[in-house]
Amino acid sequence: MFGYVKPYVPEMKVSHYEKYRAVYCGLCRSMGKVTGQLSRLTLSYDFVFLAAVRMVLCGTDVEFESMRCFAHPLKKRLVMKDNDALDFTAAIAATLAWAKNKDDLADESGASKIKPILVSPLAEHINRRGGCALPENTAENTLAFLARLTELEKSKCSSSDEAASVFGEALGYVFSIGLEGERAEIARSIGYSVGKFIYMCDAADDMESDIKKNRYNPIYIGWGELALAEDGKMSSLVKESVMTAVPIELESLDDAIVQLEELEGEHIMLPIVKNIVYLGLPNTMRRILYGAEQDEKEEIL
Amino acid sequence: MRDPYQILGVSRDASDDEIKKAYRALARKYHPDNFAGSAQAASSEEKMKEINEAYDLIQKIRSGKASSNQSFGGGYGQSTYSSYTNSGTTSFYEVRRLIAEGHYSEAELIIDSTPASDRGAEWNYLKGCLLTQRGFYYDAMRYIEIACYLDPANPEYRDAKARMRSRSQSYGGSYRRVNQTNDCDLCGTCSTLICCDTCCECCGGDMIICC
Repeated sequence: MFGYVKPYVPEMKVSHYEKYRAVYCGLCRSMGKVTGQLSRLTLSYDFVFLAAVRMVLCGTDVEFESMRCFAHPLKKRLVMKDNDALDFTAAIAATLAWAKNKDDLADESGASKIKPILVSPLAEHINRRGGCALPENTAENTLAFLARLTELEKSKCSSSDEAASVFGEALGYVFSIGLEGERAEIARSIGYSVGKFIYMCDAADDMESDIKKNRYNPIYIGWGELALAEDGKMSSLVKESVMTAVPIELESLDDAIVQLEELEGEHIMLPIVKNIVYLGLPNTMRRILYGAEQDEKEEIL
Repeated sequence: MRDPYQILGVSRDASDDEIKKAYRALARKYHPDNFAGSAQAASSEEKMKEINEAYDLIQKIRSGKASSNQSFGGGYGQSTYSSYTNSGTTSFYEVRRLIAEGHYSEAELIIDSTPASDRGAEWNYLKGCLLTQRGFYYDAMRYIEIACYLDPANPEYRDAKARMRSRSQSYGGSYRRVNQTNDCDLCGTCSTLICCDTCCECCGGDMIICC
């Protein structure tokens, strides 16, 4: 994934921020353990969200310890002790990295194929190790979603929602693996919303470069010429429209979080999940559309 | 929409009183409060909506505001969108009628089969409305935005956009409110106490003895 699912740190309590980083570090360690040291490179912030949601959903008891690691050798850091949710997320991260690589192998051609070819033995390796911790067919199912998405993209699907919802379904599936009943439903709906959001972030982020490279872009294909302002950048029409749609799309995520809270009560990770959902996600999109400067100005005022 | 008389279970020539009675009996039976928390809650709400609409429609027909009883839907659509002034083709009129009655998939069929040359501001607006029904908000916003772009003066399109925007702004409202009130709680409490004390002192009393 791409690192679009992050908390909005200025509105975070320091204690929550510390715990957030502890999950990140714990996840990094767990990946080293479950899928091998090199897989730690594929870690992104999105997976911290997955891990945190998983902990709330499963009511995981979490523990922290203070330690050094080779990425941060100078200062001891708070790290979350290993637990099921972290191991699960580590295995998922490996599977997704593998599926992404497979997808790239099928999609890319010419010089840009070199990277996926080089990475592929590593991807196979970490997938084999990660797959042991997941139910059978997880990797194949994930790949099937991505294949459906590729199909849609090839047919130049003009509806951004349609394309985004396939990615949403994929994440919904990933979030709900190994869960049952109401929990699985909540997980699926969280995954769906977040997946759709990630897809649209990626589309907005890459629109200008996609146009240059003549690649499929769900936003550009829908808007056509209206997508671009006179200077060749994204037009304010598109920015406004996407920025208005994001929170409305996230309403279903809001519902899922409310359900989650009713089901599990206060969990130590819940404030972090809420910060990401209510502030982090809209803020990520704002930064993509309007740039960081706009954001900082608003912070000060 | 089905025949409103049929929904209320009365004959076409029933008196106003009979209709009112039938409506009340049904409303009591299907009121969502009776089903709160049970599995039928959603369906009862749906039923209730249908009953309300049927009753409203009969009232309108009888008071002469709606057209003849052969075109219930048409009459209903007309009164809902009385502000509608665009001289669009009849097929869009049909689409509006279908939307007003909740037949979204049929409306979508007409919309999607409209030739590209006829896809003006109104088409974009209606397409956007239909997409909100499906929960496709990125696309819906695109169409509504384009409708406003093509016909900036139209109040209906502007209104739709403004509604979406205010809905968008209310996202996460409860979360943000909780966080904000917590922030100034202590401050607020102290200043309230000081104010109370000052007032007391004005009247010759004293609430906080030391100051």
